[in-house]
Amino acid sequence: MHLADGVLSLPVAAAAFAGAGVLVAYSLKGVQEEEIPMISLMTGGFFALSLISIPVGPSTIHPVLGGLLGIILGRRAPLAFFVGLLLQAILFQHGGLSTLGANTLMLALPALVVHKMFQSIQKRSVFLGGALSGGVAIAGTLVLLISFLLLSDQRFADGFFSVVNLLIAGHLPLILVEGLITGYAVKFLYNSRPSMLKIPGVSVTNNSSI
Amino acid sequence: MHKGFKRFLISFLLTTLMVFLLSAPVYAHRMIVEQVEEGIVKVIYDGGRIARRAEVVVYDDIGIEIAKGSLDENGHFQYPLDRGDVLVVADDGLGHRAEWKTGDSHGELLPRAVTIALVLLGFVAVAVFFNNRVKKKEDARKQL
Repeated sequence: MHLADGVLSLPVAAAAFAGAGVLVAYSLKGVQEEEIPMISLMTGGFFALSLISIPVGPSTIHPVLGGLLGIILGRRAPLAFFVGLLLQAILFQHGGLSTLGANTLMLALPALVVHKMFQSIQKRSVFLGGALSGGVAIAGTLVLLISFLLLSDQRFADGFFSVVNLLIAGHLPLILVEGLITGYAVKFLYNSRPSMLKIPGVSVTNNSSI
Repeated sequence: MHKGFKRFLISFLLTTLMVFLLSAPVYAHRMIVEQVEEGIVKVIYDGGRIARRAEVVVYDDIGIEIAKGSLDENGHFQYPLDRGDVLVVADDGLGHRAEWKTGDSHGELLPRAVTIALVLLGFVAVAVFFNNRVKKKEDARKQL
């Protein structure tokens, strides 16, 4: 799920960097001091949890938390992903520095989409909104990952056991699992701290900062 | 809500810790090229699993390809020794790629868990710092 150095062709990596730069700038614009504690904690959570790997077939998958970060942080999510990925690349060579742009885009774009999606679905069911968001975020990341690979090298799609097929097969369980986890997490937050979910119409009581 | 911030912080830390402990074995899925002996390298993922899909290419010190192929059943790859220093590049085609040059060692500065704990502490510290700042500002506003 994290692209390592040297996997992408230079033009693709460079273009991804440009895109990620724009996204992170948008994410940084107008950050309030009140928001920083939550961004910081979520970045830490993402950093730690997405280092966990589960071997699946020839590769490994790991939690991404794209849905959860998208729902809670909204437009601040790209910032959290960027900082988390940067630290992972520097400290553990988990994902490369040259592919930092691509990795950030892969996680941040779906997170932004999911944020909007959750706001519309949660009116009916908070759990369903969370679960769909969690699943869709992974699916979105996967689509971007495959696009980056194919843009770099057509051969990734060769044959029945092609990389693309393996990636899709490996991530189906993750879509389900992360969907469920996100659903429960969001439901739990909705019951205990609804102000965190930024749901319009839920009155934010006692001047909460988080 | 500042009363609740501490509680939230503690539950956040506990949750992260729990997930960590439950998800043993924990390792990043980075790929590593390690030297077994002169002229033999092995390619593994963090955690020791052999990177079965890895395709290995070996270059000599002026960048000419001198060996190419897959790993044997032990996860090893042999290359000729008569070309001096080499660069070994392994790629499993799934987004993992690793390089090893003659003379590279695989030392990490700190154990993984310690590094992760330190980074987490850093993020918590930032959160607490800004939470307190906001709190002070609000208190000041209330005083007026």
